[in-house]
Amino acid sequence: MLEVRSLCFDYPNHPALVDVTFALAVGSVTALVGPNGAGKSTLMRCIAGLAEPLSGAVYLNGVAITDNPRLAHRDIGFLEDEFGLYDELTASQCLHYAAAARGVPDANLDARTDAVAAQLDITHCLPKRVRELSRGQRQRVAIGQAIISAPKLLVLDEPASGLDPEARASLAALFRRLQADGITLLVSSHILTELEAYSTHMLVLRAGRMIEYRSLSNVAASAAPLQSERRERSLEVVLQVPWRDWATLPLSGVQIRTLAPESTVTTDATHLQIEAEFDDAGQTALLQQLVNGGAHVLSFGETRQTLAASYEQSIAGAPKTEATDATEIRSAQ
Amino acid sequence: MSMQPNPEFRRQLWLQISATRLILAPVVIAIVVALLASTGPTTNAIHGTAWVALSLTVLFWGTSVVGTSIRDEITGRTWNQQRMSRLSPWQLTSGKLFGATSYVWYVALLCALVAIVSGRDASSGLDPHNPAIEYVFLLALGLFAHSVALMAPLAFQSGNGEPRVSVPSIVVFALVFVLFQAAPLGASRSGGEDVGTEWFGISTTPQLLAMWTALCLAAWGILGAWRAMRQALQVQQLPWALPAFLAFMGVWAAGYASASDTSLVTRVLIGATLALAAASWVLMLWEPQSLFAWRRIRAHWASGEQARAVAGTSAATGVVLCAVVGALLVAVMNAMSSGAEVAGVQPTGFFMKTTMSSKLSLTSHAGAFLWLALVLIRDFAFTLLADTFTTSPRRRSAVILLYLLFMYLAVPTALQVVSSAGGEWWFPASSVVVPIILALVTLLAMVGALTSRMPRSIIAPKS
Repeated sequence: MLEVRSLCFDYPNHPALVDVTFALAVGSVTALVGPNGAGKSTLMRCIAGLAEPLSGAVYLNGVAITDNPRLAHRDIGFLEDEFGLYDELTASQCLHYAAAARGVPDANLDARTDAVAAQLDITHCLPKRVRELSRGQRQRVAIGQAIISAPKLLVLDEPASGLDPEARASLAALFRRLQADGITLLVSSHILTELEAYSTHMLVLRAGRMIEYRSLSNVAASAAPLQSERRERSLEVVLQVPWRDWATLPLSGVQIRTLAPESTVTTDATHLQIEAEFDDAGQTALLQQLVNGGAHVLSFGETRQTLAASYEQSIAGAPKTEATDATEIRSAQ
Repeated sequence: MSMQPNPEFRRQLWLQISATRLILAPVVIAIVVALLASTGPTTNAIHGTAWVALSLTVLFWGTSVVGTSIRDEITGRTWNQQRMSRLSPWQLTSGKLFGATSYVWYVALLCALVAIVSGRDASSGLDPHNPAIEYVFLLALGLFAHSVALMAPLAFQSGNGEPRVSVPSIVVFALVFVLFQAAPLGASRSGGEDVGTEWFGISTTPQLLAMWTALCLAAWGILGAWRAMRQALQVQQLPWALPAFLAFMGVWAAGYASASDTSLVTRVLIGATLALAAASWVLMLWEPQSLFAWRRIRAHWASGEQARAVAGTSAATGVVLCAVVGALLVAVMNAMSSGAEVAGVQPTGFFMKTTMSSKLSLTSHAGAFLWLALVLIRDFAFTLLADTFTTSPRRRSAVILLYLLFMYLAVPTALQVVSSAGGEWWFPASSVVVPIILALVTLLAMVGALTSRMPRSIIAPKS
């Protein structure tokens, strides 16, 4: 989808990006995080083909953005940190203009405008001048402009900046819908809890260097389409009644390994922690074995790391700080 | 195949044209005409007022509107959306050039109608033989001014490649004012004599020559705006347009040269070289060529992308190169002609007469053009050196301006104080030997400083 290779970008007195390399998977939502001055906005501008790097290359579906920015722009929607709108135009005119400027045929302009407005829940705003809209509504119009040509990649720099909590939640829901529609998203923000609501991957930058790029499959509330995949999961079982000898039950490491061959199991009296590759069916089968074996399961679920903790870990190399996922399965037994 | 309307032009119409504005303009004009008519029986006053209003509308209001159209996109943070759109460079150029000024042209049309109707009965002012020339001249000059206003912020980018918002409109206005004043219209309107002129030996009227000149400038301006837009939209292109324009200006100026013993080629070459040299200093001063750009060029070159490296060089580089080559050619040609006078440019044209008080004589020295080539290289080397120790385009421009003032004002003044003929040691006049030696010495010093500093500086800093 998007491939960044050895990207370097310099400002006159300091390097903004140093040898940044990563690749985004189709349909992923990547949280781009890092302290101020890390190079997030510069990286986004390079990906959007708005800034020419010193060296390195950015490819979008095989097209080198650095060589053919005009060609690559057809598949990219970009919302800058401080986005602009034509205040004197109506929201409808803004979307019409954006659609026409991005190559939507004239015959489809009305239909496309209406569809995007409905998708963003701003149909009622269409006849109003943009300057009369609220911050959240303006944000949606700006996003509408970015997605009106159905880009394959949507790059958003601090999209929730200045929004109230309700608007942020609404924006998160919107991003999940866009992801469900097959759009790949790269989103930067300082508000990690907001990114946590929809991100599937995390890209950490510091001082222009990429610290880490990884999947957030074990991060709380990572996006729904990855839930049923077979992947590394960290499962935690909490028992109501302490169990003295785990090995005597169907929960022994040997039996668990029949479900998940490469598993790591740690136990104490009331807790069982299993790190293994599971799919949903395997996870269900494990719970069933526990219950059938007589364990009084108080809670059973995937242990997920918060994005903030994951970020801290990436930046400082600190040990994991874990929090229990809200999607625990509780058993009455 | 259906024609898709230009979205940028349509957006500009949404912003510029409304029923209220369409009605307002003729109402205001009608009121002014009625007031003028009621104060006295003078069609001349109405015609004169309409003409002035037309000129101000086209040249100043229109120029201001076009200049603002880019500035507003940048300050309104919508410029990058346009850069990422699928609008072609021509769609954006024409949309802004003609769409942003749509209301201006509407008002101008109304003013022109009043001027034409009242001008039929006016007793003075217009060229009685062909009044249309004035209107065509004004239209062309307006288009040229609008194009320059659009091109300027795009062509002169800031250090990070963004268009420079701060290119002052006053510069464009000054350019328009000079051209307007230099044109024959002011003289003919104030009862000036109907002078004749020659251009490349062709006898014509200054009015007609001014009209064709303005039309050519308008075409060059639109071409320049389009190419600046292509650059802003990251369409790779080779930097041929500015040298070509300056060569055109050289040809244009050479048309006024009256020396009969000089070949046309020599005259054109001299005119083009001088135009290129003048543009070189302007670009050296104004165009930011940051280390960032040099590092990128170096990186492209190192990775075997020579075409991208060449395309990434500044306009100043190309223009200085052309000027140096031109100066050396003139020097060689002059040397081969055994020191005969290269050209004696007599300001016979109207423009020349109004701007030059006496004969402009290009002295007959091959050495003078050799000196010109040397100082151009030296000054360009200094601009590169300035890139290595300045961090902002503004500071860079200030440093280069100080350098130019030092080299071309302070040093000759100081030499003049030392000796009454000291200035001639610096600028070639009666003798060229000393100025050439001094130019060579300063050039070598500059290149020495540059070669010791540049290789380190264009390597990306390590974090």
